[in-house]
Order: sequence, then C-alpha cells, then structure tokens
Amino acid sequence: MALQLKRVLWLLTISVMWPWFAANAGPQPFDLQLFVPPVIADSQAPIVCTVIYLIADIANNDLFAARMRIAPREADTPVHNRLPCPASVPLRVALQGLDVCTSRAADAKSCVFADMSRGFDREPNIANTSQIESRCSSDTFSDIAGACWMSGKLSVCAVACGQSPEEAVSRARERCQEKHRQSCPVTVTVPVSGP
Amino acid sequence: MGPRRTAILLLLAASQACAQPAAVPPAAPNPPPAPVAAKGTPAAQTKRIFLPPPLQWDNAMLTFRPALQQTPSDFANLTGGIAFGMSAPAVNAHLPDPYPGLGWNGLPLANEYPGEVRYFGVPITLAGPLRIGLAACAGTASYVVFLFSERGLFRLSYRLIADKTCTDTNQAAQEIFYRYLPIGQTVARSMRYRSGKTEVVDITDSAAGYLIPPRWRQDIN
Repeated sequence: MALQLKRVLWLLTISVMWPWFAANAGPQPFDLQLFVPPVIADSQAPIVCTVIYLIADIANNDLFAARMRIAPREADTPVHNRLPCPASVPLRVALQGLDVCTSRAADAKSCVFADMSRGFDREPNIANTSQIESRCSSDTFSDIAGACWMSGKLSVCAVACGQSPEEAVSRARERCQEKHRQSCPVTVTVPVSGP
Repeated sequence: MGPRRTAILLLLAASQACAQPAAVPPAAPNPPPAPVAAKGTPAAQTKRIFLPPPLQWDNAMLTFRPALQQTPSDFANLTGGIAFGMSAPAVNAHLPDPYPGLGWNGLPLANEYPGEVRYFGVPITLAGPLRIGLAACAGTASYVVFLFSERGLFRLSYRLIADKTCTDTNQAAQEIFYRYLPIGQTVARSMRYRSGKTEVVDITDSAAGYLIPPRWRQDIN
C-alpha cells in the first residue's frame, strides 16, 4: 500500500513537472537569437588617406568625383587625426579616376580632368587639363570644389581644395575667374573622404 | 490593360529595327522652373556631382579593388525587385500594370545586338519603382526598355524624349544616372549619352559580356 502511494505521488510529481521536463527534453530551437551586433563606426578612428579627382564629361557637362582610398603603411601615424597620403600619386591612379567617366560615357574622349586651362573652350581636350590640379588629398584638405562658366553649351571649370565646403568653393571660383577671366557662377563641392 | 498600354505593345511589335517603343502620351509632371540670370550677372548655381563607389588601393598604389562589397540585391533594392537574369514574364509581373500574356516568342527583336535579343518597353510614367521618384520632367513620350538575351534581362534602357511640355530631359537623365551610379561596376554598368534628341541612360548587367558595348542610336530608326 505504501509502495503504491509512493508510485502515485511520484506520478503526480512527474505530471505536475511535465511541462518543465518537456521543455528540457526536446531539441533546442534553431533560432538561438544570436543577434549580430550592429557595426559601429569608430568616430575617433583616424581618417584613412583618400585622394579625390574631379572628372568632367564635356559631352553632357557631368562632373564625377572619383575617390581613391589608399591603404596606410604600418609606420604611418595620424596627424590631426588624418593618416598621411603618399607624397606622390602615380599617373595610373589618376587614369583610373578618369575611368569612372570613360567607362560610362558614349565617347571616352569626352572625359577630361576638371581643372581646365585657359583656352579650353577653344580646344576642349584632355591635353588642356591638369590631373594634379584636379585632385585633393584627405591628409591636407577636407573638401574639394569646382567652379565653372558656360562657354555656349560647354562647361569650363577650375578645381580647388579647402578646409570647408565654403573655402573650397571660394578658392575654386577665385581660381576659375583668375584663369579663365570669366565669372564662374556654377559651383559644386563634395567632401574629400566622401559620405 | 489600358488602351495606351495596348498601343505601345502593338507598336513595339511593329518596329523590329531597334529597341524603341513608339511614343505614347501619358501625363508628365511640369518641369521645374529654370534658374534665371540677370543680363550680364550670371546667377550662382549649384551643379550636381556624381559619386561612384570608391576604389581601395594598396599602399604602393599598384593594385586596386572596389572599396565596397556590393551584390545584385543592392541593385534589386533600387528597382523594386527587378534583377538581371529575370525572364521577360517575371519582369512584366513586377510592373504595376503588367501586359497580359507576355512571352518570349511574342517579343520583338532588338537588331542592334548580336545574337537573339528581345525587348519590351513601358512609358516611364507606368514604370513603377523604375521611375525612381523623378522630380524633373521626363517628356510625355519617354519610356523604359527591358532588353533580354536567352539568359534573361541584361539591360534597362531609359529613353527620355524632349517635347513641348518638357523641352530638356537632361535633368531627368541626370537624376536617373545619379540614382544608379552608387551601384559599382561589378554589379551594374551605368552609361549615359545622347542620341539625336533623346537622352539615354543604360543600366547593364556587368556579366553581359559582348552585349555591353552596343548602344542605342536614334538615327538608325
């Protein structure tokens, strides 16, 4: 009788505890809710070198900003939180910048560097542009700008760098007006390191 | 299917020479007011700048790669789900007002391409998400063409035609081009050019190989 009572009590205990046992006996759910934490940008991290070129498609007056990020050397140390850029940038980097236009234009010859020489309106070709003056580096400047005037349907531009969008635009306009002896009301600016 | 859609499909089928649907007159938004400059004192204007994805170079600047990892889903996010490689009926099904019974054999040939390339088009006003919220006027006769090889969709081609209500479609072409440009060349190749009076923006599958170079020419029609 006592044995039977024990069995009854045991069965009662099991039945009461059943949901708890069942929860542990079954297979674990596949969704373990192991959420991947969001990637948090380190706002204190130094700015990696970016060299930016302004490129113009003179067939439709489009302006491209070609951004080239350059990996730092191990020994590089940031100055004012900006990693240094190489002292000289090979021509192949500039030509790759030009490619953002040539690969998207109907005629590759319509793609030129956006800093144009005086007389570009009469001879609009790449020989009358400067790849060096069409670029800015993130170790020394935060913004690049272009300022242009319209020679008929052709946009003729100059490029400058600055420590703010306003400064870059002002310098580009000044350079354009000085070089081309024209008022240069059409402007554009973009951060060197990009969004 | 409305009478305008029927008309454009019939005219598409009738024009075998090139991927150019006939014009239909859907309503177009009014063009934004152009900046006016006083005589002799040009008004200050801000120009649009195009920002393709950056390239990442090694420190010696000998090799480079795209700085951003992009996939076809980045492209599909822009197009409301339309992706390269889709069949013509699948693309059609993604349109807000699909053509009934559209199939491969019923599509006209685009003869400017080598091999068998077929197409259909829709007025840009009926292109749903592909209209990408255009703010500039696009011209009432403007349209989007979908070009297919036997492997599926390989090109979207926007053809923006100026008319009396929209005398310059350059702004609209710039808007469309601007929208697709952040997609890197490893996924889609964006191209912008003018042919005759038409502004063209082509968005092509990077894997399309020999089908990438041909461009639409208005003058051969």
